[in-house]
Amino acid sequence: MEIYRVILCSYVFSWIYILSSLPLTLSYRTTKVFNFAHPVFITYGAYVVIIVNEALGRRLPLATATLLAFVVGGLVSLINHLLLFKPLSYQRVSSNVYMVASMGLWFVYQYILYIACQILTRRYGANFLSYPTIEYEDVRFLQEALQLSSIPQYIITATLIGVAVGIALYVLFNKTMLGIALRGIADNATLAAVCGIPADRLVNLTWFLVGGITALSGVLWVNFSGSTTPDLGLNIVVDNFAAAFIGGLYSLPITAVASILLALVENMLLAVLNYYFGVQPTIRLAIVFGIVFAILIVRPPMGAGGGLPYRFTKRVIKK
Amino acid sequence: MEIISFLVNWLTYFAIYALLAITLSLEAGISGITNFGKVAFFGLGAYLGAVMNTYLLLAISGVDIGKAPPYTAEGVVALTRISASNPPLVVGVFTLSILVSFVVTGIFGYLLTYPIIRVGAGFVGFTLLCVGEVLRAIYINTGFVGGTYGMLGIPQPFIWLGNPILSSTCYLLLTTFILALTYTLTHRILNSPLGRTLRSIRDDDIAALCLGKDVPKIKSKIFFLTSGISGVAGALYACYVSSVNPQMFVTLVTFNVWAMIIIGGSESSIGATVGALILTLIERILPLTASFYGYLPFTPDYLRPVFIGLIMTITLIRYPRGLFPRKPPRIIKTIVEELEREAG
Repeated sequence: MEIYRVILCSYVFSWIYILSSLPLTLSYRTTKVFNFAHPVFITYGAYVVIIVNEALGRRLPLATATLLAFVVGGLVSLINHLLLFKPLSYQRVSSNVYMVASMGLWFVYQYILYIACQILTRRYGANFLSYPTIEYEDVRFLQEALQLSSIPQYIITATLIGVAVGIALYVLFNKTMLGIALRGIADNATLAAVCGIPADRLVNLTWFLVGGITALSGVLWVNFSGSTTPDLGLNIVVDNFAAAFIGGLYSLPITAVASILLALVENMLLAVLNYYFGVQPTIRLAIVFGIVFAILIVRPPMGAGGGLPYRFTKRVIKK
Repeated sequence: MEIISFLVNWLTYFAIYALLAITLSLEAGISGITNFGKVAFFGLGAYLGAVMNTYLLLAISGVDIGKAPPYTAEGVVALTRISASNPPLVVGVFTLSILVSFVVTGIFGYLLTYPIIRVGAGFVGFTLLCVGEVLRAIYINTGFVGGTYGMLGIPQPFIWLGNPILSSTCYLLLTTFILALTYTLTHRILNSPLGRTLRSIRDDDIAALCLGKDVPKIKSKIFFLTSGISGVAGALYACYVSSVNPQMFVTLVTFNVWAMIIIGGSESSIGATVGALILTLIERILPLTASFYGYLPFTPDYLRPVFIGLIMTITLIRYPRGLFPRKPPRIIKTIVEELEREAG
């Protein structure tokens, strides 16, 4: 029974990590901005669903939740780009400045959400600072129609959203001119612009997609977790970045595989440590960090992460 | 009297945060190490200082630590008694704790450079950010340092003077002295051949490597120094506020220090110092104005990070090099002027 629960958790976490890590890799390889405010999109996606759920009298369909979270997450991301990253790019600042600026944004969004949650809690009575699980109306209807009531709702939600996003991304990047143009910008933005690709508009679109897809992991989270708090993004930031990090911030397939493995190893190890040694779940972070640290020492990711100069130095010194 | 108390309090906070800001400026602005885990070294130093100034003090004084550990009421009472009655011992243990914090935190930073110098700036920032959060998880799960509640009653080294204002002023002088030492050291590094090498590494580490500079080794040395000083700042902080707990060492602390160097200017020690002066003043003044916004339907403390985050992002857009950017050396100015003259 315990193993069954761990497998279900790993399955949902895999989709949550995939939906949040793939866009991070996508944004970095297209724009070269390492966005520390990325986890904010997850939190905002979750809170859009929570607010609309309260507004609709706790009878929210998944289709509405997905659409709203995607649009709001996308708009927040696009606004970040237009108001901050784009003006910074005109000044030709270093990549470090982007990182610092995104860190500033992260805290602004995080604490604005705290303020909003406190106001909403006072105004409407529901506890927005720790919100319980949301059941989607249309998924419940689907479960009854297909006689799938024995399967937890979050498994069906995760499968529906995850598979839909996976197919959409595959079609976009492999079967459409738009996707090919986006890949062109990721490989060489200047060359792409010279070839007549409207780089500026496509970068805007990339940011919209990044925010929108990441917000969908928030839609999954509220259906799975018993308590959604404004710290949601902060709590899974390490896993999120770790998966993208293993993919070298460049490869989407490796990032997806890393997300699945990370979720599986983390949940299995945590269950084993808890069962045999009574280790508390707060140690989860240390497990993920241990994995990242081991990868850093054994095989530093190449891709956009750098690392080549130091290996090269080592070889030169040895000679 | 209240003004004096306010000034002493503010300037002590300023001196401690300026130590963090100056070292971050040396790491990020000069050497190109994106340290988003500043709080890890600050927190480690604070916990080391707390452990040394409590456990060691109790052990030397012959108190049974098993019966009265420092995180219990009995331990705090024993510490208060010892710190008021035995000045040489308190000052001696404090001095030792500062030295130990410097060495241990420095070595911790040095060891961390082994994996992080292998990857690019984004990964360095992320890895160090994780280190801070992992250390916090360790503090929470370690009963020896009080777990979630942390440790109380860490003696301030001048508490035996009796007068709170006098002891706080002495502590301010001590922290200011350490700040002056750090400032001088950083200033000398910046204006030495090592400083120029560091700037070349920041601008293009591959080019520096090709010119024969041992980039990993230089970065490791600098990280040892800056981590050690951050540890000292942590130990000073723990003894000043007389307590430590995991909630004191969240990522927001790192963000505050980054805001200081962004506002002041990340490439100069003076910029980092001015940034620390401005932000610590805002931080000290905001609690005094609490009565003006007491009617707000949310915790007013949440406004501070929003406010600082906005200032930081606006400064980055308007003044990417900060309000007090580093001036180019006179020789470069002369060359530029000559070139302009030649070009007509």
